[in-house]
Amino acid sequence: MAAKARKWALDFGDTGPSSSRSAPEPLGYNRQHAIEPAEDSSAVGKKDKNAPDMFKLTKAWEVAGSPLKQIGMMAFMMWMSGSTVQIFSIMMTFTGIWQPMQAIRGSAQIFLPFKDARTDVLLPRLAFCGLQLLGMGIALWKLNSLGLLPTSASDWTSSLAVPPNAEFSGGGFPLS
Amino acid sequence: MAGAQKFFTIATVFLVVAPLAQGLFEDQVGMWDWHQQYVGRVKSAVFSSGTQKKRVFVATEQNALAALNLRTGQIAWRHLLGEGDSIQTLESAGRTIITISGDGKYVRSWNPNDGVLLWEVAPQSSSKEDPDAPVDIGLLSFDWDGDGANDVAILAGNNVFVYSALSGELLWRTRMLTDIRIQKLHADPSAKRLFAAGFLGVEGTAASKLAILSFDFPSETKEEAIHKAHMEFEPLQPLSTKSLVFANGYVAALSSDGLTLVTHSLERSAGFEASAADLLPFKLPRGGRAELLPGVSGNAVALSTGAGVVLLKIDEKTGHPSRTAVLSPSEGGLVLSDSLTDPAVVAALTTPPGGGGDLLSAQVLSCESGDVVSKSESVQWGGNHGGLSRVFLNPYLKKDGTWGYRFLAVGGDDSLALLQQGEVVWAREEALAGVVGVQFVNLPPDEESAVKRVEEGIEEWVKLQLLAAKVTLFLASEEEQQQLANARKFSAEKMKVTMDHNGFRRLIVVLTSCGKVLGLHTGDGRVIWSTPPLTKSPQRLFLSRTPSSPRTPPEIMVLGGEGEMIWVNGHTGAVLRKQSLGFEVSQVIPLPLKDPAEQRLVLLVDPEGGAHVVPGTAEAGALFRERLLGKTFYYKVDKKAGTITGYVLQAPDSAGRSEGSPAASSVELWSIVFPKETEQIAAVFGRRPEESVHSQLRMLGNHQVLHKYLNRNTIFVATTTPDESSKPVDERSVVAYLLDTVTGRVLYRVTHQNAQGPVSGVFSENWIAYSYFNARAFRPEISALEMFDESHDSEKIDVLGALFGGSNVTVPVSSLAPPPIKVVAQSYFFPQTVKMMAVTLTAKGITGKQVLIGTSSDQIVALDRRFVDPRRPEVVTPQDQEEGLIQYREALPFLPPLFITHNNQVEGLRGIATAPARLESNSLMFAYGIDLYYMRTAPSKTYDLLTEDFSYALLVLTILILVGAIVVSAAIAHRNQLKNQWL
Repeated sequence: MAAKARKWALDFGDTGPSSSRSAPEPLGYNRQHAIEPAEDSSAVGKKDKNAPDMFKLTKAWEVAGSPLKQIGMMAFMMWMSGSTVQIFSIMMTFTGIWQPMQAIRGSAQIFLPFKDARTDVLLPRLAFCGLQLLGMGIALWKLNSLGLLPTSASDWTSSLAVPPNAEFSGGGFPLS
Repeated sequence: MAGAQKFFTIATVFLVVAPLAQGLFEDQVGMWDWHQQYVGRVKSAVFSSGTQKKRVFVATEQNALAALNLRTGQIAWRHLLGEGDSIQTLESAGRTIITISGDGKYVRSWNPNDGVLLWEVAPQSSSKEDPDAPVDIGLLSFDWDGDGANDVAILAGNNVFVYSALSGELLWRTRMLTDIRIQKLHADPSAKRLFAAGFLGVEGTAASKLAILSFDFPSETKEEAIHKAHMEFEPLQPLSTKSLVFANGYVAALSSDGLTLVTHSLERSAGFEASAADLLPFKLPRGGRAELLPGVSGNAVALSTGAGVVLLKIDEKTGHPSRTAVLSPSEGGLVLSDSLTDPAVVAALTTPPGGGGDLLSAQVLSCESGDVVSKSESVQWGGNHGGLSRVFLNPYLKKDGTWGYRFLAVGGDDSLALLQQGEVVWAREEALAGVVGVQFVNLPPDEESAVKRVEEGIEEWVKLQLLAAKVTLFLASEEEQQQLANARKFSAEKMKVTMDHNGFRRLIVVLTSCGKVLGLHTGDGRVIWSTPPLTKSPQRLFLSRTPSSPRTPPEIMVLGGEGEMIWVNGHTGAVLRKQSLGFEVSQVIPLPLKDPAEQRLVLLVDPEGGAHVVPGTAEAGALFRERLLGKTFYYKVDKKAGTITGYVLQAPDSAGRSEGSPAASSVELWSIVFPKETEQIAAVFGRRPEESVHSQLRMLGNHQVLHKYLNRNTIFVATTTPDESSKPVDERSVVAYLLDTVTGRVLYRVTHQNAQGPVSGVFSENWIAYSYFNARAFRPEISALEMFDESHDSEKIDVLGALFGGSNVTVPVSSLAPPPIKVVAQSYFFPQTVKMMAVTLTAKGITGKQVLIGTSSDQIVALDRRFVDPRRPEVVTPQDQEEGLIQYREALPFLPPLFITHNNQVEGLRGIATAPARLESNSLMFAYGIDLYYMRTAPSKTYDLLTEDFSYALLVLTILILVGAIVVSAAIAHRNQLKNQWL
């Protein structure tokens, strides 16, 4: 390490014509690196600017696919929790509905890091939402199979009033 | 294998039943229920004597025999004899209590200390020789068989028997001349002799001759009574068989016309006749007649007329009666005690005029001289007793050697009171043993402001909560636990005489057989108000006015014989008004209408078929004509003729319209005649009009629906085979019918072969449960029927239409356009004979129902309706499970936790009344017989109410501890975090 270390020195008195300005360049500043790209490479640079960042896109697609694992997990849990109405199965099912809704609402946030002027994340985001909806669908199906969704006629007609009688009748054994 | 299977079956039943059962913890006893025991209307009483426990033994008209503690009036023991086994005579023979019951069929001896039956004999071996023959007990003054106790002579079926009082062994019996009708026995107190007096030449209630027999029981011969003296006396006038008394060595009887008193010596042939009119100090009222008071006997004779009572003494030597005392009745009447006491005295109780029936004056008169031995004026015994009906006297020797007197007074309202030294020692409201009608009435609202109420109750509440928390945490001592249980049982909140939010505090208004109406508090069963006896023949009790404002008192109507109507204020018991229609009411039909004054309209139908609207105002009549005339039907059941007849009410002929004429006349529409040879009507019942039904649909497990057939004009009729006990088992049958009362149409009919009565049951919503006896299986059975309307297609319910009112589901149903009906039926075995059935009622009809089964052991079983659901499947599918159907078993569960009477018995159970609480989950139940029992039940558990023993203090404590823990742990966490940052 010590051998590689170089000694350095700065002469504050050097105000020679080599520097274009009167003030010295800041420490560690290399004018060469700060040079703007050459005119000839500008065409390539423009093309790069509009092309999506492949790396970001790949990452975005990865995120879009992530609910698949969740869905698998949830389906398994739901299968495990059984078909009887109890606190566990209800909790499972409601989280199954609630989570996708949250995820869809926050999907803009999730895909924000991958989004820039060049990278369009709409497609992965749609895919993500679609998968979440699929998960929600499974949860709803579960809810229905638990009998908690008012989908049949009997759910709507249970409180139908009893029809009155057109005639009135009484009587019985005569009083003695 | 079989054992395992049986175990499995039992385990399954238990698992199914466990959540439906109504178990109770020890400290919950008496929290929702109360039980009151009564004896009924006392008809004879004897007092304990000598060194026995201080008790009075009573026999009542409800066939109860009981021992009451003389100091407190509490029941020491009690036995209820069966129907038709009424007690005629009760005597205390020193070490035993002897009764004759069932028209001389049974003679029983009871242990006075614990009421154990010592022996029982049936003196008449064959069937009753003479059903109207009088019965009597003669307590012999000697011990003939030498077992150490005096023997008893029994008169039954015109024969005289002598039994050993200890063992019940028959020592001797007469071979009586058949033409003598013996009335009474009299044992000579000083000699080994028994007298029997009776009549000869009996025709109806008149007899031509007086006959006296005497028997000697010499110690030397144990087998035969040696001497048999026989004396006859024929007076000028025929004698009345109704009154005959022994008095001072004589027999006294009265002539049929009540004008001649006849006396005859027991020792020698010496008869004497005296004109009753001569013995009276006042003139006999015109057409009036004297009577010998039957209760009074021994040394004095009492002649009663409408104008007063005369005490007579019969001269020992000549047999001449002479007047000793004159008693004139006052307002509430006069009652005399039996004078068979030592010393020979008679008690006379009167209600002095001007006392308004609240005061009582008691006198004790000597039989010898007619002098007043003891007198106590103006004993306060409370009002509403409706006068006096009987008195029993008990003289006792005081410590200073003088005589003291106790009186057991029976009021005109059956109430019982023990008077001693000018005050009421105890009183019993025995009218409640004869409840004939029940209504639940709301209490007035609490007038106090809510803040004041809370302020008043807060201290007690906090105390109670702390105690409850202590008990929950197992920190309380036994004493404190008891204190808590008592505080809960008798909490001031529960006992308030005001309306509560949950509708648990109500008044149970009962009509009793003596015509008295009482209001009982549901909290502990105490009497809040009572009326004097209102009518002689009480028949029905109605809620005639149920005002929408809770401040306005509800009105109760009592219907008596001859169309007598009395209205009573439901909050105070004050009699508001009386009215008499002056005709016998044959049918009572409460209408679903209220007049502008919120009076409920009631139709009273006279025997000619004229229907009268009550209240009889023009508005009420107009309302009835406008709303219901031509649409009102009624049916009449004639049990004797075996017919059910239906009528429609139509406008009467306008020609004969006048004040008091019926508002409508009946026109016969249909009639069902049951064949007399094979069927007789056993039970007829319909739905309770006040029952509320939540839904017209029944949901199935597969989310389909069934339409209930909820036509209110449907009744259930059951018939049994006449004379079923004399027929072979396979010729007996019970036939069940479902009838429409508008058209007379038979909706359903099912025959139960080999079945017999009695039939009882209950009809609720669209289902019926009824019981009968399976004579082949020798077990009682319960069957269930459920009716469904088949006209609707359950697949095609117009949901939107139903929701937005466009559907035809709520169009009135008419019996004249009947839909096709499907009836589902199922039968089950039940281990006990069913006396009656009732069903719980809730405010909206959402809560499940319990069938309340009154068993032959006078207990009540609350069976969840799901057990008598005819749709119970043999194999339970998941869908059935979802619907809550229980697998079919042939036997219904009968487990101790199902008894809502717990370990109590409602002796002589006659009825079960149910009413909804305001809280949907609860139903109130009141059972009555000789005992009263009240219970609050929650058929589907109290899902809308925290339990009484819910510890608020513990909840608050837990929350406080949690908050404290949060604060402390937050502080610790904050400190630790700061510490970590400095490292």
